[in-house]
Amino acid sequence: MSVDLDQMSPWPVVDGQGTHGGYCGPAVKPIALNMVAEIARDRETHGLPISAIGGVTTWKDAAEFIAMGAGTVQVCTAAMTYGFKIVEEMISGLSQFMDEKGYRTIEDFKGRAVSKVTDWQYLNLNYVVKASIDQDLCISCGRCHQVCEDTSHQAITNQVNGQRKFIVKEEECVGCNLCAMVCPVESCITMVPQTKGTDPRTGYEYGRPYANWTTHPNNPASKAAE
Amino acid sequence: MADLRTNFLGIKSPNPFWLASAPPTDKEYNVVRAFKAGWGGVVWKTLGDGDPIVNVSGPRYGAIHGPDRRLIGLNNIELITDRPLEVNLREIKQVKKDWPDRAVVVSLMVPCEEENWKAILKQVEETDCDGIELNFGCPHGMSERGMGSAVGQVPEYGVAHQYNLINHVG
Repeated sequence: MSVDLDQMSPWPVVDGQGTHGGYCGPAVKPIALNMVAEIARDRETHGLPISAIGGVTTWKDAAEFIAMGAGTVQVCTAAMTYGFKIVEEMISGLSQFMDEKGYRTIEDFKGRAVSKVTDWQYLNLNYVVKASIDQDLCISCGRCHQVCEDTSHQAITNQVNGQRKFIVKEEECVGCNLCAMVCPVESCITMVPQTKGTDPRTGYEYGRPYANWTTHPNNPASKAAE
Repeated sequence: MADLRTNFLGIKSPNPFWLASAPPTDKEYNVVRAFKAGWGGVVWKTLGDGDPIVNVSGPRYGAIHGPDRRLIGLNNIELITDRPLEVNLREIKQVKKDWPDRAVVVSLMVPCEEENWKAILKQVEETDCDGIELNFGCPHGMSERGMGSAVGQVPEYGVAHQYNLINHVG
């Protein structure tokens, strides 16, 4: 789990020594969700009943696992962290979500997201998004600029006309989503799909029809590349 | 202040903090900013051969946030570098020349054919970089093309391949 730097031993320390164990909780949820998705979509295992496990803490986690094909979810860390009554919030939250969406039973949305899980090679290379910063919500913390400048594509200003201001440079933005992920204000930065006009970064028109890697000219295995 | 200098496989760096092969080490601009900030070394974002690969222009990153919205996990579907090989090689050579005390390792991924590896290794050697990293780990996109984790997931394949590399490159 970690290392006790005073005792120079794995932590928890059992009389001077430590060992690995079964790691669980919210930090493993994305990994568990992927495993469930792979089982649900694999030709050989598709349709197998899945009782999903791995970091389920809220009703939303449960709904995500169910959408990915799970019939039930198993919970441990959340109960051990908050006590058994946390199931009340899970039940009421899931029920409210289903009412809002018009799902009467679990079966109504079980596995609904499975068909959307695909391989990289089938993703639409012509789909273009650009970051957009809501100037009313922006608190000018500068984190989007900092990460984009250091580790991505230098696509966000920190000054405009001498004023501290954070604006997306569309000619540089690749739509990576990093700024939106690090922004401390939820919904301040959104990734906006582009449909009309020309991409100033690539010179290509927006809204070109779906095309993936399997037919891309740069792909040596592409049958369409003549 | 304590002495943080490291000598790892004969590669020296002023401290043990290296930036991993990833978007932050994709080009000279970013790497120079990193060195100015104090990083001891970088593993340059993975190079490939042939026509550059193409990345998606939709979101490439997904994140998991803790209850306080601190980012605690990042998922990336960007592939290896999408810039031409010659551009990367030129920049690597320049950066190593300008920052001789920093470690510059180059990550590589080409089809598992002897000729591909021999060709790119010769080109990379000319940059005077300190070492190479074999990318047998990338789990998305490239693995569907028989590279990255498609190699790393077959231990016998990886061992045989590295043996050949050592024999041919020394």
